[in-house]
Amino acid sequence: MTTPLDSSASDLDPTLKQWLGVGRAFGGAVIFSLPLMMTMEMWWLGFYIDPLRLLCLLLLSFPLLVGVSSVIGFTDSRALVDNVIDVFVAYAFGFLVSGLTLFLFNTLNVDQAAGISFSTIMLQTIPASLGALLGRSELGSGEHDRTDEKGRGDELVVLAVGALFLALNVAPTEEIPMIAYQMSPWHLLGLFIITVLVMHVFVIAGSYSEGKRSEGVTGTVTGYVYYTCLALLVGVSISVLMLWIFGRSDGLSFTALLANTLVLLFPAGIGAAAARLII
Amino acid sequence: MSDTPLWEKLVGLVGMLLVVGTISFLLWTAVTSEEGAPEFDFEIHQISASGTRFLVLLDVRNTGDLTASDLGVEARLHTREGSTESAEARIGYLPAGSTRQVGVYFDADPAEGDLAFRALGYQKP
Repeated sequence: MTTPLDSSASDLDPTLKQWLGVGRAFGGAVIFSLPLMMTMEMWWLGFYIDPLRLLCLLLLSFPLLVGVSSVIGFTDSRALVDNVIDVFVAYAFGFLVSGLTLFLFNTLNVDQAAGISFSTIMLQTIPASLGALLGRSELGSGEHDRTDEKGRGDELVVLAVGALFLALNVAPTEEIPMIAYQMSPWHLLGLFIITVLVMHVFVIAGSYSEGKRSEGVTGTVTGYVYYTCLALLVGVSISVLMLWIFGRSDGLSFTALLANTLVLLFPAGIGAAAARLII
Repeated sequence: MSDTPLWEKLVGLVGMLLVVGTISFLLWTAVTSEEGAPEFDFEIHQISASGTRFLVLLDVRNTGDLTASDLGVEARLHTREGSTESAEARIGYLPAGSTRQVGVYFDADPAEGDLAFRALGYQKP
């Protein structure tokens, strides 16, 4: 997609271009993480999150962000070292944006232990850094290559980002267990069927967008079904992982965990399937 | 060779230090933290008249290792005449090592008696 801004971007002064990049990164971080920063469950989570779970979140986010940087990276070169630098820059921006916003909201109370405030900021930093990466690339100069040589790993990264894009904002909220409790097994079955159907529609629609039909593998019925299954797998994994990291799976019976997962899969699965339309 | 501009490498370095620092901090916290219980300290912040009643602002500090949620706090006022008045307040979240302030109201003047505080109960978040 070419916008008037894109066509003139390559003629811009390199310094100005860099500042535009910085602005986009900040913008992306704010847009992506603002709903989470204004969600009180996320502040509370900072009070009691198990350090090992936060560590898992941080360690898992790193390869994902490197993958994002490589798939839709904003620098012309795609050398691994550049992508890794991009990711660390995104973490720094994400931390700054989260820290400033939470400070403005007076969420970082001076009466609380510094470690608690730090955990609260770090929790928000990870989605914010994903936003910073997406912001710089999504609105970037359009020189990056999004479709060529897309490997299986890149495909998984796109699916995971799509799932996070839609599900991350609701995953830590009280509404997920609340919805799960008020649904009967029949409601859950209905929701699951609807989820899969909507996902399948998005997979087919996604393959027609932006002339991406050349990807071949999804051009056939088997290809579509395969891609829906892949998106479903990623959606379920991301849902379970988020429930665990946000402490929503603790002490649940298998049936309750399944119900919570199916509820969260609704946005996560659709996000994964629609990823190619979103990013 | 990388063609990333210098400023970006420097910001990247800051980001890397942040990530490495966080990993070390989290590992250290995980290793040193014990499955303890929250413990509470009470300190009177201020006593003031509020209409016909009296307001006691109380700093509640969690000196334990665990965050308490939905903490109930009871304040009792033993007056010199021998009567006892009690008041309650609740705290949504009181993280470990942190302080929250609550206010409790009494009909009698707390300056004319003895105040005592205790935690009633909490929920593990």
